[in-house]
Amino acid sequence: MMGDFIDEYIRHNIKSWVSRHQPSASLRGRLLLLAASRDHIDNPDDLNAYGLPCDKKINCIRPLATNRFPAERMVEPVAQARLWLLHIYPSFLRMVT
Amino acid sequence: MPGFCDQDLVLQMQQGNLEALGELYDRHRQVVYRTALAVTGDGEAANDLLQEVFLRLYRFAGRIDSQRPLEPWLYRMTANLAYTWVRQNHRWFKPLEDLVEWFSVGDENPPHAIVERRDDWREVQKAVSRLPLSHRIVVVLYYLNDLSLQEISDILDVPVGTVKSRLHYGRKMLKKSLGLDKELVADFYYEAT
Repeated sequence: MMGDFIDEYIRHNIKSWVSRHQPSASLRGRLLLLAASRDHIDNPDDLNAYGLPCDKKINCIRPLATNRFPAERMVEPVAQARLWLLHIYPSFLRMVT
Repeated sequence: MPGFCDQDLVLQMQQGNLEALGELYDRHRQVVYRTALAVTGDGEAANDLLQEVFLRLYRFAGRIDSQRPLEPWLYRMTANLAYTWVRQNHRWFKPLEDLVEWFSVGDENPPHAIVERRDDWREVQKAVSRLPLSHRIVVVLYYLNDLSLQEISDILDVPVGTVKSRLHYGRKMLKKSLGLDKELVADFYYEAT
């Protein structure tokens, strides 16, 4: 009885958690676009030529979608760090010299 | 294409019909997305995995037996991709807040805290994300997708005994993480009923 209650508690809360999230609305269109592009492209090298990096071993597009659509990237930590260094490095040199 | 069953749509997809892929996506996107989300704990990753699962469905449509139900294939692909994602994105350090919580979980929870908690799902989310990956996948398939032990065994291609064992230990770890053990449960249970 108690075990049933715990099961129900876990079940209810896992469902409650995931039901608060929805798949991205633009995903359907993007999926069909990518699938359509694969219709005409069989060779992984061709995919690379289209700017869609492809893992040859498993024959599917890599990396993940966020990397394929640069406009959708939220932040780019490495690039930002580089920019920060460009700003800070000359002034640091000036201070030392 | 609402009049068609999954099997018909798979057959159409095997002939390159993109509309069939779109229809299958509409029917099954929630279950794939939610499974991926529960295993990875990451909304962006769940979106990426959702896309990848359906791209593979289209890509490998020719190898799919249209006479068999599609959902087990989707679960298997989602579990495999989520497994790979978690292993590749394993974080070697946790944010300080998580770390503090990690150490404070368990005995310090007063009995009334469980009853008073309004965001229980947040606690369950954290507890699930702390489970070892193989246990987490079984817990998600069992509790979220209401699959039987036999179905999970078929999907993950492991013996039923292994599924049972992973579920047992996963459940035990969840109980401990959530403070749902012994007298705490009794208090909560009696107040809730």
